[in-house]
Amino acid sequence: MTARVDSAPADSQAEAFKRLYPDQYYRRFLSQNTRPDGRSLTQTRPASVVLGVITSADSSALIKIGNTTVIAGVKLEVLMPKDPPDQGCLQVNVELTTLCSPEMRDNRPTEVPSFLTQQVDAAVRGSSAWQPQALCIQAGRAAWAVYLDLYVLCADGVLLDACVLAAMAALNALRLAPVDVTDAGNVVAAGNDAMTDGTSHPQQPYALSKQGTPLTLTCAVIDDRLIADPSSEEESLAATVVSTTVDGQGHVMGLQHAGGGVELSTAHLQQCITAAQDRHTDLFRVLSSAQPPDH
Amino acid sequence: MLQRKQFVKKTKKGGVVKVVREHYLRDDISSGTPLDPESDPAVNKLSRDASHYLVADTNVALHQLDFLEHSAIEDVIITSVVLEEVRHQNQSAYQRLRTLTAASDRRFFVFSNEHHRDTYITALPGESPNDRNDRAIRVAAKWYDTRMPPSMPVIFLTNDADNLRKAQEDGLRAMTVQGYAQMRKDTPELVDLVAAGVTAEKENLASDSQGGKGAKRKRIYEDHRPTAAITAGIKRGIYHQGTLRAGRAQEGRLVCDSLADEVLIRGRVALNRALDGDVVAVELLPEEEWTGDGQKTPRQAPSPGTEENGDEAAAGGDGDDNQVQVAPGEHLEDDAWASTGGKRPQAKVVGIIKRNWRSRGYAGSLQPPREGQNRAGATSWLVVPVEKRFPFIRIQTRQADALMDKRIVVVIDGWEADSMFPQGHYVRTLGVIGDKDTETEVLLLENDINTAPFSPAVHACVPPLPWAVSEAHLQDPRREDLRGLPICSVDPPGCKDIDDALHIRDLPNGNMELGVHIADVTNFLLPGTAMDDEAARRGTTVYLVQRRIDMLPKPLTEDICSLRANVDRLAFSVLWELTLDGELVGCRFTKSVIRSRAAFTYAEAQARIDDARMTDELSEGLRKMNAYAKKRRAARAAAGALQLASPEVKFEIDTETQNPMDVAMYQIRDTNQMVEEMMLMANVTVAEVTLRAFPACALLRRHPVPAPRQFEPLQQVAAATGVSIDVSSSKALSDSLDGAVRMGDAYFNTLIRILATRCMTQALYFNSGQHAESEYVHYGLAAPLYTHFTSPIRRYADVLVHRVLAATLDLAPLPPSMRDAAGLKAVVDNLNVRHRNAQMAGRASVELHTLIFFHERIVLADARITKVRSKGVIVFIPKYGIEGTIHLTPKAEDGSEPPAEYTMDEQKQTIRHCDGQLALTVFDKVAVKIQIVTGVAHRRSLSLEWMSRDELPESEHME
Amino acid sequence: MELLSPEGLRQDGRRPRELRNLQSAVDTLGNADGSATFELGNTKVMAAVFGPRAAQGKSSGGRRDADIRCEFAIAAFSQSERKQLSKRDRRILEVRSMLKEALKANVLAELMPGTTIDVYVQVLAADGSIGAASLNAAFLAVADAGIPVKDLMAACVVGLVQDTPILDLNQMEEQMSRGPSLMMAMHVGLKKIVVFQADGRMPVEGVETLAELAEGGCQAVGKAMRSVLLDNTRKLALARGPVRL
Repeated sequence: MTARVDSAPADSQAEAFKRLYPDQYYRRFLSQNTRPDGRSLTQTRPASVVLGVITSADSSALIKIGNTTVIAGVKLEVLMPKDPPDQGCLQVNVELTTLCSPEMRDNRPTEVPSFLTQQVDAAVRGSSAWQPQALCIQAGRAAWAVYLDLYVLCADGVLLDACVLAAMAALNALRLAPVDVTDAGNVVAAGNDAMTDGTSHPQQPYALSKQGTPLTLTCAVIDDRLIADPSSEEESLAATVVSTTVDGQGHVMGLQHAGGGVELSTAHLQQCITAAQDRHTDLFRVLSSAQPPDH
Repeated sequence: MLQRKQFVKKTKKGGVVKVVREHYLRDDISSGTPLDPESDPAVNKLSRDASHYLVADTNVALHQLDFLEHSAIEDVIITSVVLEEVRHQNQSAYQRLRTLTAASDRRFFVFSNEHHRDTYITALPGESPNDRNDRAIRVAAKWYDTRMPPSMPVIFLTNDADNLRKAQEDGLRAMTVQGYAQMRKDTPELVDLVAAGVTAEKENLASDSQGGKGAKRKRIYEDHRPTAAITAGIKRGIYHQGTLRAGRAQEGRLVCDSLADEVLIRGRVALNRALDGDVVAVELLPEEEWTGDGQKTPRQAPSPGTEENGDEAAAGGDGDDNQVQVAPGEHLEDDAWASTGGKRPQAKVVGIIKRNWRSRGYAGSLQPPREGQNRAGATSWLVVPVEKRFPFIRIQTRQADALMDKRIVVVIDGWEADSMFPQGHYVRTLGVIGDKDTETEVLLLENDINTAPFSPAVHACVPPLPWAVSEAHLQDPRREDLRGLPICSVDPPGCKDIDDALHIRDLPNGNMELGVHIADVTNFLLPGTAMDDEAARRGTTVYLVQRRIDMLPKPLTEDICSLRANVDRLAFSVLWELTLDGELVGCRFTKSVIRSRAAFTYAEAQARIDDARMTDELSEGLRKMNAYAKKRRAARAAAGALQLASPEVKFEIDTETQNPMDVAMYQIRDTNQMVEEMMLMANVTVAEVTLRAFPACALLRRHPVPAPRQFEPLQQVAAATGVSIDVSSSKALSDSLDGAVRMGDAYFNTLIRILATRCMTQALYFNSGQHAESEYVHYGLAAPLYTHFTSPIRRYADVLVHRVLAATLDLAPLPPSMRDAAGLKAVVDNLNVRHRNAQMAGRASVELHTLIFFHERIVLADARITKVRSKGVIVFIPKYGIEGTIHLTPKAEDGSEPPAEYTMDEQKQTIRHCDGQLALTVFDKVAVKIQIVTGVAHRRSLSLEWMSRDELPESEHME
Repeated sequence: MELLSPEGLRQDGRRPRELRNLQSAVDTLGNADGSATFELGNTKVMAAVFGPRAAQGKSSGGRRDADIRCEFAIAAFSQSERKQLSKRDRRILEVRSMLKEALKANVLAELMPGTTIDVYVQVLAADGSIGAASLNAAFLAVADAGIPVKDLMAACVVGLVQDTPILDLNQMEEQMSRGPSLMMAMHVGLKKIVVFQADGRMPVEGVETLAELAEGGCQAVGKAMRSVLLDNTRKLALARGPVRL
């Protein structure tokens, strides 16, 4: 079978040093204004978005930022809208799969998934892209419920950035099929044979609004220096991590500063926002150019 | 041979669940013709020498099956998209189409166009599924057209104007079925088989061809309301939904959940084209329009001058005065109503929610032309259905001369508001009217009885013969070896499917053990097998006078399951312990191995009981059982069980001609009642234990308490003779029946019981989970619980009961299907239908044989009057089990009503001639002359004529 | 529902003995020592392997072989109806234990004493045969991690529909078929059966027919997986340059 080729002897010394003294190993790079993977301090990793990978989902996206991999799938259901009666609803759930890192299996349950769930939920709802009225089928009788499930398949830093990107990609690819509500209150596909008048009304499915897509950039602070788009290794060395979500229309939608007790300078804050805006342009381009395979 | 596959994904939005299925396209799909070198010769079906190939669209495949089935139609390409659409719309049409494509002697080829790389298409934006499918068929036709050499034209058959036009635009040779049939000069009868179109364009065509002959025909019926209006109307309570039950073509009844009383629908116009079995929506008429009692159905049909109306009047098709054989449970409720005062709610049909037109067709015969009417060369004919509850059906045929003396099958294609009768078309000929085999085919068709041989898959479930009980059976700890018991069976002569056997013996403790042993059919009939499915569909064995149509394959019915004498057989046994006084002290069930020592007929068993010199174990046992049965019977009667009577006749058949030589009342002996009593006991016991173990899924049999009004006809005639019948409970009724005696008239009581029997409703199978406990009761037997356990060879209900009992005893798990309430309801509903159909078929077979018996024979017989009407009396002839009307005022030659010569006293149930010479009262004895009247082209009917009783030979006198 | 038409085509257009479109890839996740995706028609499974690594904790120390651990999960959106299955759901536990037993038979664990190998499998889209697809993904990830194994292991599902044996059941076929089905995994070079899971009543003579078809199916799946692994090795070798032993 395949055998992984052993590392050359020259590399093994560096590998050993890295394992024994990760801090020192990293700071040596930092002092040179560079990072072990060759990036500059502000350089982000390439991102990719593939749509429609899950045929069973109503829409789906597999996204990567560097090694970090997240898959998002949307399932739609029809529910009776409660309050308000003319809006659909959203349920987000983020899970870290066992696949995502070597530590996952032995780790105790953490608050990471629920933190991510809450952040993604807030990002979606806070954006002007989210229009729950568009999910209404018939006020008071039927509306779409959107179930957005995200699975982190590979965790190598910036999980929030990846989850928000995956969520936006999946929601942007979502199409709502035209449906009718029958007298009996059942929802049927429009133009279905179940309709008695026998006429069909073929329509193009309509998408949710794409305006004001929120996207996130996470930066790490190590030795008072700002590192953009950190890997999981860099996140573990960081004193604190700042995630900035902007909507590409000049609004900051969220700013998370995680890392208890460490202060953040205004300069860093400003830097984070500027970097996030740049990153938004990048990611939005990737997002916009992604095409579902069938369309 | 896997080719490189391209695939497209098909997304189906069914409801709101997204379903994604893969759909592979292939390049190895055969075209089925040797003209295509790439087609696999092993699957080729189309002929190289055909004059053309046909491609049918979906509507042709759905509605023109009789045409397609004709042997002159060959080399037909059926696309898979057509098959799929037909399957969705009509399962039975699909089966017929599949039979055609599977037949090795027909050249029908299935082209899998939906998986062919070159013929698969996706819907265009805005294209409806129907349009897409129509286009797919045209694409497939075009594919053949381009692939075939010019010498092989491909003809596209469609009756849809739009499809026809588009096909022609695509360069296809397209034509309607009608057009094609007319083109086939070689087979002129094809035109008959074309189903009448009921589409708008057909109407246009018709009016075009008729030219100036009046643009629009007069409307006879109200338009049916649109579905949405009906749904809304039902919701608002102005319309009511129910299944129409029609006794005659012009009158129906409806039970609606939304109404307390049954409603009547009288007259053709009110029925508004609804047929028996249709699910309809009705609107109640204002009370002042209810016509109430006794009156003849008013002829509401407008435009009495039309030709069609005249036709029917002449045929007397709606008359109900013809002779009918009446048997238990069956009773002419229309008559009951007609005679019972009081008005019932009346309604009219406003829409038809679900049609129940039979795809198997209706048996009937052409209506002969009236005397003096010259219809030579006519192509439009009315078919008079055998069953009076269906209307006449108009068909187009050019073979009227050949069909006039035949029974034919027709199907209904549609019924327009401007047509008095439904449109249909001829399907096939059954044979000459009156011929025994033909008429047997008729009664099998009318009662939907499947006489097809069992499929190979069913036969595969039958153990090979010779079969014998094996060591494994004897070693099975769940099975007791009861071969030592003195078991015997008692059945009618010639019985081969022996379901039950009996024994009785003394126990060491001084008590007695009584055993009922039932064939262990479920040991062989396993749930979920092809044989089980088939048995559930057939539901019951059907017994005709000279023929038995089995529920299970013959080796099981007559050998492996049958509890024959002197061979080891598997049984399910019920064993009771009785004290010498007949008190039950114990009861148990077990699977067993038995060895019956004798298979007696009722007569043989009776002879052994009666002959005191017979002291062998079996004879002694029969005597003890008989004594015990009598005791039980008396106890049941005391508890209110009804002793009903139903006239049954038996035929003596000429072994050479297979025609009946003599008819006689079936003799009921003590032994019949003894076996019946034992079976009742077993059934009741099994009903109790299975219900206790499975309160929600026991299969029981209930006999609903009849509504008091059902007894009105009985009470009316009884009252005329001074006998009052109390129907407040089955006990009261039973006592009244016992008390209904007249000095010197032994048969009077039987007659009353026969009439009482006719007031009963049918007993029904049901699943205990579906009814309230109060509805479990079996009225006739005065039993709180009842079921059928004792005839699993010939009744599927008993099979289900065996399975539940086995689960009760932990012998086998309860099949999951018994817990599926909806699935079980469907099975049980079918059993009730099959049971009823089997009874009707059996009765129709008796009726047929009676008719044959009286053919070319004039018989005098003693009869009793059962009802008095204004122009005659209805009599029952015990000897032959027939009932019919004696017309005292025959219709005049010209059909006009004769002057009234008789007066009727309804109260006293007496009819008197004006001159006072003759007075006939219900229950009077009269003599009748029975003979067959032959009408046009073999149409025969039984005629009864009043005779003076002096002319009756002494031998025919009844006490 | 007619799963097999008299013309010999299944609902999706396959003939009885055909596999669906099969696609697989290795080294699809960055963090893992070995990873793979395996797709069979619309069924899509991802697997990751971590290890072998030194066993931590008390119980696994001093083992004479590698401790193989498995986790198995199904994404909520993987089926027509959204469903979140708990880790302790019977269906999850069944597949998990099947994966573990099969891998124990496949991996040469005695060559790696005192180590742990974690094999994680995640179903992303489920359209039938998910057990077999999961095992195939797991095997590819194990191979990608460079873990020594006995032989190439491949799995497939076969079933009996209208008395005809069919290969590689999709979800509709699994649900609608009233006949028996069989999941089989085998060492395709050694021709030895590793997993044999039969469901439903099966006539004795039918077992052999089904097993024969399953073996053919495993060989076909194995062939496809072998070529993916060879391609990947070639790519790695090129990236690394010549290797001196």
